[in-house]
Amino acid sequence: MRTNSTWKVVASLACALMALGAVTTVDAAGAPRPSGGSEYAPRLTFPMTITTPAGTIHLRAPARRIVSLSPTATEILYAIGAGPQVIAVDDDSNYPTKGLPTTRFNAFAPNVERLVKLRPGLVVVSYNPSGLEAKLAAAGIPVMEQDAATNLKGTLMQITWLGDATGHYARSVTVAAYDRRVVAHDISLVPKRHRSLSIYFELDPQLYSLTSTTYAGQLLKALGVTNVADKVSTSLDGGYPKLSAEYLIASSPQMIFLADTRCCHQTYKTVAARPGYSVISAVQHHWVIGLNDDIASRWGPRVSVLMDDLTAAVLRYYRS
Amino acid sequence: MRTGAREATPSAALRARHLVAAIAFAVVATGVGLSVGSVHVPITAIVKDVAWRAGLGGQPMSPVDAIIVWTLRAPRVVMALLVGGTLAVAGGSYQGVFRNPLADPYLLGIASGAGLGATIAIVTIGGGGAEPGVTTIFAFVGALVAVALTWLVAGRGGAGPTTLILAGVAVASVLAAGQTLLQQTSSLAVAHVYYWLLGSLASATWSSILGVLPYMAVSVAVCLVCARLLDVLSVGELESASLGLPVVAVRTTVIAAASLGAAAAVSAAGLIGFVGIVVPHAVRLMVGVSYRRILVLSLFGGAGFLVLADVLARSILAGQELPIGVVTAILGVPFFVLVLHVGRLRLR
Repeated sequence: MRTNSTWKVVASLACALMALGAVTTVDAAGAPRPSGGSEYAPRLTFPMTITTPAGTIHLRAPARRIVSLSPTATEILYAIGAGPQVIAVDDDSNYPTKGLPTTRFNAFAPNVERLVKLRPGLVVVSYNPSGLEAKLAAAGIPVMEQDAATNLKGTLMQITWLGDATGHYARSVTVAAYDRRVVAHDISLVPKRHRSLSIYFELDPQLYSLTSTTYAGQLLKALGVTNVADKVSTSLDGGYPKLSAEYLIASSPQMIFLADTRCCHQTYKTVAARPGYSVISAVQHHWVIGLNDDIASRWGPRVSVLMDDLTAAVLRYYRS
Repeated sequence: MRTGAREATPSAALRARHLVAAIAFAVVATGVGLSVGSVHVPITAIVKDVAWRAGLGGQPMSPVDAIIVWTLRAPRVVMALLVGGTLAVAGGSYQGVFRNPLADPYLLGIASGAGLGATIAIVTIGGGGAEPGVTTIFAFVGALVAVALTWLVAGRGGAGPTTLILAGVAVASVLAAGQTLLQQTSSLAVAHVYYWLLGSLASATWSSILGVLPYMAVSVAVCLVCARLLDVLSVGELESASLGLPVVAVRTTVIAAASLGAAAAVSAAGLIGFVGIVVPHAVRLMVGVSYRRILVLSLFGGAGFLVLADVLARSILAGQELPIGVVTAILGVPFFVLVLHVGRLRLR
């Protein structure tokens, strides 16, 4: 199971798969691409019109000066080889760990004047604060809004849209296909007879969790686990209920995933030290799995790394 | 402004009856708080478990139920009793010392100070995660600093109630701006700050109770001792001064004590609104305007009220928790409307 998730590894593995003819198309993942060798050439010539659920943008040429106000978009841009074109990112962008531009913006309250002065050819946002898109559009700057993807298909689409916009279409298809293939492969690793594991996925120490309707929840569901948050979720929580400690202890999940290891320094020790948690099966048997918060909350190319981590934990449990 | 319209008619019998009723309310609320939640544990099972633990027969609960009741619920019920009682007494005391029915424990900037302190802890130290105690300490210090600033801005003890209130508004505005600025620098901390601001008793533990108990005890004790002086003060500052009451000293003492208790309550449970206004008003409606009765009954009324609010917070959505500040606000607003309505009827 891989633990190294650098883009070099992703790219080299993807190239190997391509060479073997394993990567053929991502159409099943949602990207309407033609099959065959031509899919790795630029799909369209510029000027280009790209239509996403958030809107339509027009580009005369591949964007050469890109500002990313989304950590996920930043990861995608670097994964598809558009990193050298990125001139500024938001404060929360921290991956890849090297090579990010030093020019930073607050994604929730960006200084529009400073942004315009950079003369970007494309601004990627995941949030449109105070009519930012309209202001930039008035200045003739194309803006691509990429809301957080809600499923794997959404991630793959976002990867290829950015590939289109930046002139890295071929690489974007490779990356998207790789992610899709890894997720499918991981799912196939869990035997169907092993489908009884109950889990709790923690987003923060206040016991905010997620259900099987969310992105990560869908990945877990595909692995056949039972999410204890599903039973108590209502339409009001959007798939992110805040559980009570009483319910969690009474549910006694067999495995706990911690997606708050970085933000909130949660570990097996801190969880075990919480009042009453000693009776939870996952704590008693040390099945508390720490995840990288960023990977577990950014639905970009590293979704395959998250899936690997989830799958590895589930398989270890069944083999123990 | 005078508070209430009913004349105080001291009566030992009446006071005893009300006191018994208030204590009974708090006791019943405690029983409900221990029994009701995501996992229902019958009160009879709890009583049997208590008897078993005391060696008086009975029957032990299942290990999971025992942990839920004694490790999770009991501390938060006790914390709710303490926080609710303290906020209600502090609110009643503020209403007495400012002679203003709209005064609440957060009048002098405590909420903003605690909010800024908590935000500093969460943003700079990560108090929202590994060390909830850090957030508590920062919030407590922030609340006390806010009151001290208000006191200084108002011109110390010589300032009148109106000056103090205006100074409190000014200080609260500045501190709230500081909190907003700090939040903007760390978008990742926004959720933690937001959750803290809405209030919760979920993190209550026996050690956290011991941490705030001394401040709350001193606060409540001083306020109760000063209740008779607040009754004198209610006739007006000039009049009470002419009767020999050291107005500035009384005001300073009561504000300091009430602020200490409110700061401890806020630091332990976040910003829980309406308890400090609603409970003293409810008591005033029932027993009249004497602070000797209002503060004592508010202590038990506020304690029971917050326990029941917490029960709702952890029971409305099965398996989930709502912020308790939301519940108290939802309960408080209709009550406010009722108080205003009853007040109008009496004026007619």
